[in-house]
Amino acid sequence: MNAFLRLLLWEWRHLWRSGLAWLVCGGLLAACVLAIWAGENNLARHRSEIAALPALYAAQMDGIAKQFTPEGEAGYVAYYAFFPTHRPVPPLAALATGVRDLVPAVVWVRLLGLEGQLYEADLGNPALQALGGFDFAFVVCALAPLALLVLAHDAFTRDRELGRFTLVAAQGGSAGALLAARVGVRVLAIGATVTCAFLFACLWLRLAPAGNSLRWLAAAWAYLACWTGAAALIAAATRTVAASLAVALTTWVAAVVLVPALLNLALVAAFPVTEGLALTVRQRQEIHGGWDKPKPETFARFFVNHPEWRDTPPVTGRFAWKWYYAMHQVGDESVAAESTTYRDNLLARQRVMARLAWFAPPVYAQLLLSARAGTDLDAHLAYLDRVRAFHGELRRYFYPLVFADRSIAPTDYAAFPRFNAAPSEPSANTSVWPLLLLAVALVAATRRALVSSSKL
Amino acid sequence: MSTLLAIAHAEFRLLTRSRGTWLLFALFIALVATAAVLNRTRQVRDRAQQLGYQQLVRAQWESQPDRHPHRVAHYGTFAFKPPGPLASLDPGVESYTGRVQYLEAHRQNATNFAEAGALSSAFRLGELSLAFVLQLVLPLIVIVLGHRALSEEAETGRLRFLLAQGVSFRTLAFGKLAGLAAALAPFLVVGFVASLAVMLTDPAFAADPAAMARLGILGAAVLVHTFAWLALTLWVSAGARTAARACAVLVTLWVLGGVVLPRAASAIAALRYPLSDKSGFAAAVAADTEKLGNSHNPDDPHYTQFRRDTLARHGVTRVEDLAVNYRGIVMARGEELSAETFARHFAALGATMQTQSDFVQRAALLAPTLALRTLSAAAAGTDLRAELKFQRGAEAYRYSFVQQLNALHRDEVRYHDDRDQRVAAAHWQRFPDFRTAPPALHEALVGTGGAWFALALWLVVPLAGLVFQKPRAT
Repeated sequence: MNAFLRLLLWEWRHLWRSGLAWLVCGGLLAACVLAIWAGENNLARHRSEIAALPALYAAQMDGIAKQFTPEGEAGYVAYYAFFPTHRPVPPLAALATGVRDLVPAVVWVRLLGLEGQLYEADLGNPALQALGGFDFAFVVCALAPLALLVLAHDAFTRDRELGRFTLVAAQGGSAGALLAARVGVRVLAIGATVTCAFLFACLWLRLAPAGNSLRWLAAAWAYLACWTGAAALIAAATRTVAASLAVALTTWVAAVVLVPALLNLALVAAFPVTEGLALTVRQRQEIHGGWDKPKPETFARFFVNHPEWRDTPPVTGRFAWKWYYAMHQVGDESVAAESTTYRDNLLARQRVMARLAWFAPPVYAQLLLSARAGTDLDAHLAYLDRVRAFHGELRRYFYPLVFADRSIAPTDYAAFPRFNAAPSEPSANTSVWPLLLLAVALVAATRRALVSSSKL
Repeated sequence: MSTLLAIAHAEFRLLTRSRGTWLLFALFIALVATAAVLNRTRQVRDRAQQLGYQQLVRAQWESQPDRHPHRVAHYGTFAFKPPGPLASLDPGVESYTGRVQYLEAHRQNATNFAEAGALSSAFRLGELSLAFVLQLVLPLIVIVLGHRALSEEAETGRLRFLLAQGVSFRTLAFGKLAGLAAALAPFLVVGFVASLAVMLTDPAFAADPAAMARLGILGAAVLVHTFAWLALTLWVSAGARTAARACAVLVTLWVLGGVVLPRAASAIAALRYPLSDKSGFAAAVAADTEKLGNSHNPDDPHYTQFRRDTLARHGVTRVEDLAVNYRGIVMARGEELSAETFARHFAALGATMQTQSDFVQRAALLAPTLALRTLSAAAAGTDLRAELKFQRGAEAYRYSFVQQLNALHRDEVRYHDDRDQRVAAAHWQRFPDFRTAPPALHEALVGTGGAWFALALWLVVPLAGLVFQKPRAT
């Protein structure tokens, strides 16, 4: 048998007999299972809300039917009819909640101006949200590295303190091999714990351990690789147990608690995104200003983008539904630029964070794990794009009826467009490479630390 | 007593001569300064922006042409939520609450554009603020400086020597406590000076008469919390065999209490007291309003009766013969019924949220940091209570201006050719503007008794533990 393998086995047996290792891994496993359970339940509210939509829609349409029997103006019916759109809870959301519990899973839209309806907030207790999410991703990002550091920081320092380090290192062949074996078995123990919890999640939530799920687990391992490098460096570069413990804990607090908090504040302070407020205020002004403008003026603006309705008879009376909806659409179009800027700026801010996160692995891992679970802001914005498309579909369906001043009967309601939810795609814009590069860099630094310490 | 002072002095000198302490102090100052400057910049900017928008929509409101009152009610207005009075110190829940609510007839809209919903998922790892530094980082500094105070004496064998000299362990422990407290004082002073500097340069400070009292309460809570950690640190240090072990125990407590417990408590609270979902809530409000009456339905029993009563009261037989416009009366009645229904449902929703938060406050018995968090956000006017007060205020304002417009509809618009008439803009230009204020300090502190109790408990128990702690035999 290969000497290194023998060393690895020896270290594994040694770790197996350590009470602390069992305590740490047991605690971590308990936290993982609790987090998976909490993550699953956290989004149960969204699941039941989505499941109730067909019944709520049917009840609403029954009420409308009562009011418009035997028939009613299409424009009037559309005024009262809200159409549910939803984003299904992705299978991996239980592992990484992301922003899923902060943004709505359901948006009801009607034929009126869309921009005023698109950003409607969800119901939620901000006091609970502010305490932070407790999900598997959080345990992996924050607690797993801590567990690893607790087990691995004294890989050398304990022997160094007891004065037997040279002896022990000589038995392993080289200090490097010994360090690799010692840190290696510890990261295997932590990784195995995380993987066990992951398999438990797969079994419990009936996730296929393939494809996206495996890519999610791979991201978690890449992140652990990064911390393996850090743990090895700390073990190699310190002399006493007290020092290695102090450095390990400081590193953890800085990386997991301070740096993310600092980055979050810096980002909010440096990149205010205010187009949302601006477009909300301006859209109202545009839409309602239409009531005081001559109707031909509104129609002229409307026909620029929708010439197909140019030849419909002009509105002469005080009110006509086609004028009302044209006014709303013109209102939407007048803030189209702000709307796009708003969306782009949100995405740009995400990109800046992803870039900064190269230097903050816990932040990067958090972004990566929620992206791979399809629960990040990108996924929500993609959903809003689908809501936009659906609203366009509503317009295409109702305008021929509204512009022809048609009346519709309750039996026609069945033909109304329905929102088809696309399965949530994981966002593709984050890769594991930055984590792996950092891991390699840390291993290289460890080698140098070992070389310089052997010269002493 | 003099022995105690001598021990305190020796501990203080030991700490102040250590380069590590100064490094820690420098890092602390850098962190405090960053948190103070960035948060102040952000909050002052946000507040100015909210104020700007509030003035803009007021100007838009007043510059409306003559309109039909119901048109004005649909045009509506906006309520902007300004940051709480001490938000630059403790943003509390504000990143998670919306910033603008559209107010219009017949509908209660959500408060939209919360910061957190527009940020990356990494935002959930926390945001830096002075409160964050004082709640989480300061206890860590206490641990770093204090964990070895007694454990090292035992570990190195000095303890036996000291005890043999006739120093009581209690004197030693409290001498160390005093010395550490003196060494921590500069950290607390830096924290308070930074807070004060932020407040004095923040325009919101002058606007809030209770700002100083808020700051005082925040300071008192931080002081008790820091002392609680100090007592705990010494107690653990007294019982630990080695300094490393004391450090490990204390950091574990810190991680569990400061990082894990808040999240776990939040998750459990959400499960134990489920909140209705948005679609369900809206449908329940709509269904209950519908049950009371549907003004669009000509055969609706409620409105048929209502018409009969109104006609009888005015001694006429037809709505056309009323001296006032019946449509305005019906509109007001509809608004009254729907607002009542909404208020009832919203109160239940708010009560559930408050129950959830109270549960989290009870969990603070397990960790002092959670208790401080509750108190700090309450004193800063940035907690759930403040948010709910804003929402109730916005709804009350919405109801009031819509009803004033309905009164105009009733009195100033004739029944015949109702929709074709307009009313002079001067009428609604006189309506008062939307104003919101955070809960007064005494209101804000209602219900924080549990948090004060938890904080006091975490101070008293370790102190008592330290009093009765036997020296670790070496």
